[in-house]
Amino acid sequence: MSDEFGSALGLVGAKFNYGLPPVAHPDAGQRARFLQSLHLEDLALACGCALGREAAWQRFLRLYRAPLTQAAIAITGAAALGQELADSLYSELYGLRQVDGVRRSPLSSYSGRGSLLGWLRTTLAQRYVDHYRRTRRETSIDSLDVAPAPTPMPSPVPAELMQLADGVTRTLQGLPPEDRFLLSSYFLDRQTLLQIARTLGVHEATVSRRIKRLAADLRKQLLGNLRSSGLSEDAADQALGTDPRDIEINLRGLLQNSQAASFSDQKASSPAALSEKS
Amino acid sequence: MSDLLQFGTHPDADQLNAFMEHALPEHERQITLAHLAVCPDCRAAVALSVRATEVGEEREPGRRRWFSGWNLAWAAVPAFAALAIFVVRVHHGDTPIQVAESRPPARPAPLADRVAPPAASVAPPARLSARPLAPRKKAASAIGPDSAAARSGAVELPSGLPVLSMVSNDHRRLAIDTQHALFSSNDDGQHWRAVAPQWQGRVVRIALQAASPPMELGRNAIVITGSLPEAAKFRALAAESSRKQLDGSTLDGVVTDPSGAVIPGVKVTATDARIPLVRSAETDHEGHYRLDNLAPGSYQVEAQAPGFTKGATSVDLASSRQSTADFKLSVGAATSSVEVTAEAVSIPVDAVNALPVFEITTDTGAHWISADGQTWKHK
Repeated sequence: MSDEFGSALGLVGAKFNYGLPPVAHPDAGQRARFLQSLHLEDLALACGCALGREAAWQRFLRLYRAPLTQAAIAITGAAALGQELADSLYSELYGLRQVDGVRRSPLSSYSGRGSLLGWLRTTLAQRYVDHYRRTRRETSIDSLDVAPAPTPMPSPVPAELMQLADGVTRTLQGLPPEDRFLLSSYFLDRQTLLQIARTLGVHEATVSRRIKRLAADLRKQLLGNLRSSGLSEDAADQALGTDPRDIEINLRGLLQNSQAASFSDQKASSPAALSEKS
Repeated sequence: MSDLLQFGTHPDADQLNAFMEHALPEHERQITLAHLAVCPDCRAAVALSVRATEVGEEREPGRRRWFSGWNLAWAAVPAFAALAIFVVRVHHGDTPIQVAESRPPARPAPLADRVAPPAASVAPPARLSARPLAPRKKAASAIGPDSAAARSGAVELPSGLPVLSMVSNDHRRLAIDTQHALFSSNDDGQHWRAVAPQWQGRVVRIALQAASPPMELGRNAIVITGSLPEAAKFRALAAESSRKQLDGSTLDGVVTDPSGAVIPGVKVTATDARIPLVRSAETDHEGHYRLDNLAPGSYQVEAQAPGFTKGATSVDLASSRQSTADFKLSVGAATSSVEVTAEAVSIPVDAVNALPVFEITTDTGAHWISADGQTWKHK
């Protein structure tokens, strides 16, 4: 087991380049620091379970069976559905699935950078999102109209509104990732300040201040963009007062599609792909 | 990764979890944030995971606000009442069916110089607490899901699935597998039988419960074991004993050696002459022991310590009185002298539990009970 665990540590280190950017070459100290930062006990347990060791599996059951069910119920908001979700993941984790005769458990994708319990919760959440999407996709077919409504022909748009739409697009596309994440979470997903704060690991008040400042900066940038596109100051102010329903601009699309590259594309230069299909 | 959240398209659970736990290096954090900003599905997964974390933390005892609202008022109640734990167990066989242990309150006085007990026999600073039974063959046991998982390595259920949870009541065992099918065994898990569900839904919890709820926690831990055929008789006697304990008495005393030096760590037992009810305590650093809430009646009191002979005496306890039985144990001698005195004292109320039964809880919230694991009754 020690050899297997050692090789697992080596794989994790190589996969993430010991926590350094892809171009960097880690020295011995950086490697040691990275390995020390891992949740080694959790990683050893996950390795043992993935290898099908009965003792590891028993320990996993003892430690995580109840929290797993608890988390599933919290995620789904229903006891029966949560139980079902936890059960299905449990079977999957146990390695009932085999690829080329080899037991395959999602636990083998756990790297130890976060806690094992957190990994389980996130895996459950992903499974539930999957379930929701699949269900929505299946049920939405029944509710679809036989003949979809024809796409309305775009009506001519006043020049000011075109300029406004163009300005909004450029402004949002120029935002750093964290700001776009803040805007998406707060305005699109309707998440609370507390939820966002917990995700980012900052205080709720910090998120509130940042969103307020971000909105003010966005207005300034937008005004600047409008002026640079030829509008006068008064016209730019007037354009910003436009009823949003009058401009044909898909803010959701802008926020969510401004970076079309997939996650793997963004990490293509990493020493190893971060995501691993389990 | 799942079939919809495809590999390469989205960060996997490991990446998202490391992001949420702030374990990512900055360059990876920025990439993950950039993806989250444009991916509503991954943001939903993160939000759901955060919600699950919050619920998990709320259930942790450390996050409870003990010093607010009614909790403050209730804190005084367990301070007086939660000095002991009742554990009721059923045992097949002819061994004595009741054992109880308690320790006297801590005495701050220093240990006398002349006392030289074996190191292992020195009782720790005493507070009344439940102690595990001494190992006995065929002792009844009740194990929860956690310990069941530890033991389930040797258990093979007919379904071939791992044991999710198991409880044991002497030779009888009840277990659920990972698909929540229920099985029972009458021979220590050697052979299992599937239990036909008479309930709606799936079994999500199994436990060993007292047949009737405890009336009130007393100061001394009481562990009761007994065989099922004796259940009815014992229950009646226990109930009578319980009623008598409402007028309970206290027995205390000091155990000394032939030179008059006190002996700590001596086990003193008091056995009810009518029913095999055994209460026990250990002497503290001053050689003092105390047994509270004894039902009035005749008791055989014994003191036993390594290196000393056993001392024994009979004591008649009157209602609501405090009696004293001092022991002077001799080294290698066969007898010991005992003095018994009595004085009036008020005694707190205590009660006794009844016998345990299996209980299951379904995901619909229904509770079913069974004595044998096969015949079930809605609770």
